[in-house]
Amino acid sequence: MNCQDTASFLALHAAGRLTPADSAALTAHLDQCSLCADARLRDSIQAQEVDTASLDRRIRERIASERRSSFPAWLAAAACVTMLLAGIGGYRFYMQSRVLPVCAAAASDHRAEVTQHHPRKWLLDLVAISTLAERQGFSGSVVARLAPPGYHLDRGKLCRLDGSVFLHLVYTDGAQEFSAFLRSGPAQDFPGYARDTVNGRSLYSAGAGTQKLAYFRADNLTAMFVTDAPGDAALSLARFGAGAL
Amino acid sequence: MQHTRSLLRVALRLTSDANAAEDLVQETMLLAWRNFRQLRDPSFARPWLFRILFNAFYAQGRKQRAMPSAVSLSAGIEGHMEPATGFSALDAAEISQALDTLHEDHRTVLLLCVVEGFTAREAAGILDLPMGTVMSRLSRAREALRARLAPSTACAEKEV
Repeated sequence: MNCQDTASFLALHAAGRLTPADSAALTAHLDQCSLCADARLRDSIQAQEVDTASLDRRIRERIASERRSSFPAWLAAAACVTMLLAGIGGYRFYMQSRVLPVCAAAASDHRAEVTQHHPRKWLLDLVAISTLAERQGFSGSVVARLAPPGYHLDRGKLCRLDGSVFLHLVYTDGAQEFSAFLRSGPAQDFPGYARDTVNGRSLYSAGAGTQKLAYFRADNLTAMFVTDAPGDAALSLARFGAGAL
Repeated sequence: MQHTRSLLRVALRLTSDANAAEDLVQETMLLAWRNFRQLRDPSFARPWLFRILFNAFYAQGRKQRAMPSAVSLSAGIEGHMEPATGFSALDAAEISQALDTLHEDHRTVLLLCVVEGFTAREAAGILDLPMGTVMSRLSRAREALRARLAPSTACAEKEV
């Protein structure tokens, strides 16, 4: 027999009508012909019923489920992270840009009395200023210790900022002046994020118009530094003051 | 769903367990869906799916697979063979059973190259094997299957 006979012989075999002689011939051919043997193997395996209906349905459901759940999962995570970052950033921006009333008053005082030289009654004598400081609860040497290298105390007086009395000291290096506002007693509360920490004291800064402020509080002490110098000059003054006090 | 039938047909032969085979095909299709962008040419979807199927199958670990025992299945087939008539080689069910008794490597290349019609090159890509290895395995697999189905020698011959 040849390859063309194989199909008809197999059909007869399936119907039980193949003679023993033809069966032997068919078997011998399949044993020798790899093409027919392959076809027989392929037909045998593919003839077996494979029901995929329920499997197809399960796969579709799983894919639909993943499609529903995977997209919102990363989107929700991304949204949460974005909102969190935006919230933190916004809060930090708000706290950093917020000028406390007492700071705004200090900046206003510095602008009027130091920058614009509005007439005020200043104490110019170091001893008198030290005495004034002592009456406000500070040691007399504080006024000198607050002067950074190159600076010296120029004048001082008392002022009222946002309802509280402060010692207003003005220091100069001959070209640039800055103000230091000091108050003893319960320390002013400064909310927000500290820019630095010196001597265990948290330093804060703010801008109020052209004036830059930096401030800190310690036990029984509130100190604010105001300058017209740009950048972090006020913060540098506060750093020095926090280290000196 | 396209390709599911042929994937399941091969998975059934690999796992010898209907539930395990369905799970394997489901995992294959899910992996394919998740990594669909890796398929650059849709005309290669079929070999790509089979490659995923075999990777998933091998990832399950050989020890965990419900592999048919060649010895026990051979014994089962022997019990059902009609002695020396030659007709056993013509019955689809017995051919199928004989296939199950082959070594996994031989069964795999027969399933891919003969039953599913992949070329040796495609099968090599699916199994991540050199083409020469696939061709030699295919030759030995045909021999082994023929030995299984030859009534007078089936019980005596061993797989190469």
